[in-house]
Amino acid sequence: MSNEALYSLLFYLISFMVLISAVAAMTMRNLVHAALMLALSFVTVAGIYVLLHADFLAAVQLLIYGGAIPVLIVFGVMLTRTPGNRESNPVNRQTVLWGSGVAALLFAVLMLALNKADFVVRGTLAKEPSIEGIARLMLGDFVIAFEVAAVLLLAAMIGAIVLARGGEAK
Amino acid sequence: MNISLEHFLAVGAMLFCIGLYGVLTKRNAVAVLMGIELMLNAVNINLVAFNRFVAPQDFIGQLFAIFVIVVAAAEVAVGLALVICVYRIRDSVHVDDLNLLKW
Repeated sequence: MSNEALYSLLFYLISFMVLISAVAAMTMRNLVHAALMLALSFVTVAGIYVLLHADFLAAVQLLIYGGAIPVLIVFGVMLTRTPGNRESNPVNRQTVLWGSGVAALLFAVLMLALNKADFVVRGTLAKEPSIEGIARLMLGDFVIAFEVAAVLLLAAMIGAIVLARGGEAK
Repeated sequence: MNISLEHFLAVGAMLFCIGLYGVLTKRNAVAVLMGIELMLNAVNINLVAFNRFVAPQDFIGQLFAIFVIVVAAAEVAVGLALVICVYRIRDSVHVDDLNLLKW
């Protein structure tokens, strides 16, 4: 099998898994199962990053989206249990029609735009490894955004602790 | 058939619309947060695909994707803390029940 054909096969396989597990995460009745399907979707998105030669980003995706965020979400599910876990992920029946209609309409518009758009595609790959390029940009041109991201994470951490801890103990 | 930029953008668009469907139709606030995470992932796929095909010499798209991941992590932490806080007060996480500020 040629390299091109293998690449195409991998692309279709990984994309299929991403989309199927995303659909399962949004439609499963049990919210814990939905969270696990969401984790599977995030992990397979890392495969798409590998296909796009973004190796460092794939590792970040696995660490944060494959590990940290599903754990947080499962914790959220466990701490806010509604009686009977089986029906913990109900859909609002009146909005199903509107929701799917809006989503389908947006998809149609996006596909139309994608069909009309004309992107300038350059075939050459970068000379340096991606992690070196990202480090050069992050600590060079984008160092202020990097520092602000650190402050944002600290603020989010303190805010989450204060909110989840609740008010004064009585 | 060769895999081009449009293929990756189509996957991103589909993932975004699946997430949007979840956000619009779910009643559980945690499920709404899961839909938002899917949408952010779709955006990341688009950023990395543009980086790979339109500007492969530089890594700005990947850098933006990292910042999106940082903001998404902060968002999900604060969002879940808010959901737990609401659950403690209202004993419910159904977004239909949270209508105190409506009208």
